[in-house]
Amino acid sequence: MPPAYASVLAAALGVKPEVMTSRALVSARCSQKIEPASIWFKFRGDQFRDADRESILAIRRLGHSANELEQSTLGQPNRAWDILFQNIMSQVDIQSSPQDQGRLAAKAFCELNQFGHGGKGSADILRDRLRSQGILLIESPIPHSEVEGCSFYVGESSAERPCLFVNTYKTTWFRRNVIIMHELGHALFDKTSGGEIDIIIKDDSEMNKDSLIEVRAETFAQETLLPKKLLLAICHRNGLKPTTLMPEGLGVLVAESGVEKKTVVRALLDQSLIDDALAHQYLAYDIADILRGLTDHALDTAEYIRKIGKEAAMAWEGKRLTSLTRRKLLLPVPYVKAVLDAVKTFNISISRGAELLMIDEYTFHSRFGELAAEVTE
Amino acid sequence: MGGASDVAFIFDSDALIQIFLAGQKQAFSILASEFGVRSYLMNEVDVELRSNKKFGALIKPNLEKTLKNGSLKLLSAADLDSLADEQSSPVSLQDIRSLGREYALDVGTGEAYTHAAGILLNTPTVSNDMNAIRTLEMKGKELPPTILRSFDIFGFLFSEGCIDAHAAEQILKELKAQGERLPHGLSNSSFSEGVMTIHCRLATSLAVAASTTGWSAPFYLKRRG
Repeated sequence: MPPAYASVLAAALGVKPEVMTSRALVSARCSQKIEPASIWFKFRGDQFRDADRESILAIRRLGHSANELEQSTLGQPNRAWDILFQNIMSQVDIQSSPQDQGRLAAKAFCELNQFGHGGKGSADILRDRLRSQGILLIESPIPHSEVEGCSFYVGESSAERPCLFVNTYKTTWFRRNVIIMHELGHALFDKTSGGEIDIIIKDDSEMNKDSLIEVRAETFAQETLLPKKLLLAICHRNGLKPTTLMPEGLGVLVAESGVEKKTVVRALLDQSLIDDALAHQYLAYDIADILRGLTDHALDTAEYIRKIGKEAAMAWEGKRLTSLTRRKLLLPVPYVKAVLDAVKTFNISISRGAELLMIDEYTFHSRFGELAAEVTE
Repeated sequence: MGGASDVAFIFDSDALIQIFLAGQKQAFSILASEFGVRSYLMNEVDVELRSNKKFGALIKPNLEKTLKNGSLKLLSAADLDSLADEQSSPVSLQDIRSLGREYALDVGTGEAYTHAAGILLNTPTVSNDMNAIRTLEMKGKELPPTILRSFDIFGFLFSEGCIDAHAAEQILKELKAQGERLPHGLSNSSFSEGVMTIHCRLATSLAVAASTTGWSAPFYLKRRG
């Protein structure tokens, strides 16, 4: 295998490039020492499908590409996340309870990233905030998968970065915000575990409450998105009392915080703003229609296209899907934009842009013909 | 650069695709027998050709034939020894890969490794990717002494009488039919007329010579006695 391809494959698999040489493979086979990288070790269970593993492979390749794009355009990969993580962890006592660890980390994270400032929810800014720190965030559908989200590190050890993946298949934006922050919690605390995978759970009783790392990640997610002062600020601004919420009031809390109903109710309960009986009552509220009237994030795809117009909705239609990977991956808009900007400014060539978007050059020309014509004149 | 029989051209995938699509696989043997040009491709380019979604299957039989008869060769360590004979310091595949890896951050894998070989071996490369060349130029990267296009090869073979007018028009017709990108002057004209407008970068002279004025200046080959 030409070394140029061996290094990409090695990065995607999470092994050293020299392992990809035929000599190393033969030697490993003879000594029966072919051992998977930790992320694959975790994905070896029967509950995972080929689609899961293939998607993770494509995501790991994307991580490698994101590093290389930054190396080409900025001179080095963005490692702001490393400083952020160090700052947060310096304020966490790892001997305290998992809840306290999650809570302290969330408090530090919110202060450093201006989450919850002005009594406003942070769901609308969280993606930009994470990406600006060099954290790779991918939301892409894997149909019929048990994976709800996962977190692992990608790139060579000198240029590694956290990668958070969220399966968007049949989930809401409000749920995905919680998953993203939950996975960020894993990336922050559980780096040495080699990656964490979260399975779709039907109700809270299925959650592994005995697992320190799950409790800690869940507390971190809840406290970053729904700290007590934010819940109270939204209630105050809208003339609501946590103990007398009607479906409309609960809808306002969900819409303004950008967090799913289940987590909002659990946060109210955990903050002792309501009791178990009220929590039970609130969970039974059907707020779907109310929510649709309050925020565009609650609209389904057809409703959203109707609202913003077909032209605007189709701006990225069919332009983000990889075609050279076995499992198609929906690339994040900021990543695709960064690649196109780099092509436009002659930081990278069209052929390189196509490689980074995991499409061939012909597809690049058909998807981005105007740009291609502009830079090949 | 070597003597009349020691010229090497390193081919990139887009140029090779056009040569094979145009049915001009004999170009490599003509260049070798008539002008002493040895044609090479990098391993990375070989992978690109075979995995090309649009044309990979179509060109594979001719690629394999030319590789088998040796008119086109994968650049190996043994070739480097002979190519670097007259250079002050020997060049290794490792050197080429190291520079190729650096260039591959900015341009496609095929171009990166092809131009890296051309730079270190001080030999012409054949690549149609003008956008990649411009990208490398804008980033202040070194380029090979001469960069030829597939149409420089076709135009040269035509002017030297190695392909006739009918065959030349067929090249143009075939590449147009396959939707390939062509030099401006050839898009809407016949081969014989259009080739005059593209400033062919390959010609014959009394000796092998590369221009020192830049990568787009003509490269001169000497016809063998």
